[in-house]
Amino acid sequence: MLLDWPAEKQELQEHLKRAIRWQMLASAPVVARIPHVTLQEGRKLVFVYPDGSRKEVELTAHEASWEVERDELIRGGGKHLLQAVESLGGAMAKDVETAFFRTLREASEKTGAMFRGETAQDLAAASLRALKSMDIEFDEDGRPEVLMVVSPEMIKRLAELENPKMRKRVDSVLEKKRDEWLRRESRRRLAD
Amino acid sequence: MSGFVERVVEDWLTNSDERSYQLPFASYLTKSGHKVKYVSSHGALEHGKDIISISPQREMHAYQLKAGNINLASWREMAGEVREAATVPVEIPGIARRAVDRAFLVLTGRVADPVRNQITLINDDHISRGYAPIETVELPELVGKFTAVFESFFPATIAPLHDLVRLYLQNGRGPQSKSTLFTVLENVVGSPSRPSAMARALSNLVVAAEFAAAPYRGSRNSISVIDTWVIAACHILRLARRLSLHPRYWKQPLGFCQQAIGSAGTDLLDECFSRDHFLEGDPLLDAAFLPHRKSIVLGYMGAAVNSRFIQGKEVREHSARLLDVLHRERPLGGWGEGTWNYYLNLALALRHTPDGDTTAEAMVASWLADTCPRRPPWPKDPYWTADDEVSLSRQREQSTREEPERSRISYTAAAATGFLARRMLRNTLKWAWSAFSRYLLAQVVPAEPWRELDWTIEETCLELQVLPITGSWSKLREQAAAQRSALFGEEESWLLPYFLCVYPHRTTPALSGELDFLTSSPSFRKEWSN
Repeated sequence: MLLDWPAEKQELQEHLKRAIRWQMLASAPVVARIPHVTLQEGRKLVFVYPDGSRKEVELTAHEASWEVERDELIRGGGKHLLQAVESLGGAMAKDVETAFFRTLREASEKTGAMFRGETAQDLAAASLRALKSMDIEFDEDGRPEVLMVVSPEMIKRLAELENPKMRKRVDSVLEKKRDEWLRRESRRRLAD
Repeated sequence: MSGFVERVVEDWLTNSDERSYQLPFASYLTKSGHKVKYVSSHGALEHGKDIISISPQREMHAYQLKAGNINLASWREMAGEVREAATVPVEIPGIARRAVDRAFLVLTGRVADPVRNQITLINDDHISRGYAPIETVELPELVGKFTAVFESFFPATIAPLHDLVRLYLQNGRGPQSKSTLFTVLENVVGSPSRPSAMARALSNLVVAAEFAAAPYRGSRNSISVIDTWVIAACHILRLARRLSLHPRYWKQPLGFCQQAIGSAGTDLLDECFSRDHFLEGDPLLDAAFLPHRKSIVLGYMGAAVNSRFIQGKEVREHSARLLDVLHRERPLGGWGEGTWNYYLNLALALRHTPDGDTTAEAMVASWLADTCPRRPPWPKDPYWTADDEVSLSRQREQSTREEPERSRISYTAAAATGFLARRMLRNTLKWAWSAFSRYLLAQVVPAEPWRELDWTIEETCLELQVLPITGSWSKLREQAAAQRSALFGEEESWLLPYFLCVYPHRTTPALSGELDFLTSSPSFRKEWSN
């Protein structure tokens, strides 16, 4: 055989894996915002709730592929690596986000946390209704921890709704939510 | 291959002191069909005998082990001791007092001709008086004996040979490469189908463990010696559990591991109690490493004290001295939840004095507050090691990219809560509840309990416990009382403190609770059960 650099290639491969992951997170900003759990051992995750019920989380495999002609690779002199990272990371992000939104949609349909509206007024009312129906957590600095996933088109429509009156209505809902949260949190203690 | 193995074995032997090859030699004897009855801890009762065994022919053999060549000057110093090996009768519990049938002088060098002449004269005298003559086993013969052992696992494991030799060539001042060692020893043992083959494989494992510990023993790096032998011991136990082996196959090799670990633990305590600081190397450079070393060293010292206590030894003086060292070395460094097992060992080792008991409780209370902060960044999980923390490249890798936020998970809060609840520290927990009840309490639950001895468990599940907003003190007490583990049987429980230091990612409440139970006073245990 000809001279090769197996150890260096191994190192590069590890680096590429990390780069693909970062690219994926950069291309899937919603997924990247969700607090995550890393499984260091095994492939099963189970939530155990205070009432003793258990919920197993199924892990889903995500795959992505990228193709290039060998001759093109030979002529490219390594520049294809970057393309591969971008392409694989992007494809993986798409796959992960699709699965994520599917799960979110299924859950939202069950809980009624989905909203839509034909007119601006309908949309405003629906978004406020959705906000009211949510259990909202606040961080230690009192900031609401809310995740709303909307399409780019809806972002534009929601932005059009932004006015002092709408702001006041949103703030009022959030104030109520904060009160609810404070009431809930005041029960956070160790009893007998 | 054979020539290579011989050279490796010769290099190892010529660089070993007599303690270094004592356990492998005992293991070699076991493999050759001997029943090893005694392995010296180099105490006052030796009478020239480092190892005593019963041969397959039911003869009693005594071995005296020496390192290096023997010339006339060194012979004069040891002659009396060597003669005692053949003449002083053996007194071992369970065996009638009797003289040995054969006496051996084993050395990792050669005997000078004038010494050989003297041994011949001594043997004439011994034979005339009815004592065993002194037989010598010199370097070439010793290399041959060990090569036979080594070759039984080297050729079968060509691929990990590189790893084993790499372990042997490591800088003895650094940490043992634990995951690599685990894999190498797994390959050394292989997968024998018959129990007798398993017994031979376990003897190989003892030899391989000492081989892998050699660079650290040479540098007097007790912590890495402990790491090596604990991983070997865990291999023995996991095989025993997995194959339901009869104790006669694994008790002896595990006993060798216990002896090596105990001896390294004693060396560590002796060294640390005699030093006035924990600095190593250039102080300017070392300042960045020192806080982490303090936590690790104090944790292993705690493990040594705890293991002794579990074996019924007196530890009050060591516990008091450990508290003095802790006061001197504070503050300690931490690198996330992987520090817990060191803190726990230290805290439990301190409580044999009233001051130490109070310090232990304060340590665990402050751990709970630190490990469940109210704001991010959340502590790193227990798989992030001290080695990761001190590695510049790994730190750079962490800081260059923004990782997505980790969920509020704690692998150690349940264990710390259990510790405090068992001590009725209700107010401490009341105060901490608002923070830690927001966390998901994580624990790894393997498909079979013995898999906790694996370095990485393939078949396991991560359980995340969601706490209620309003907690119940009585339920917390109930859960705390249930924090027990049967991973180690009563006779192997001495290993648990060390196991937790060597496997810092095994942080389950059950293992932490078991260590608490084993290191408790009888009255505390009684309260625990009630």
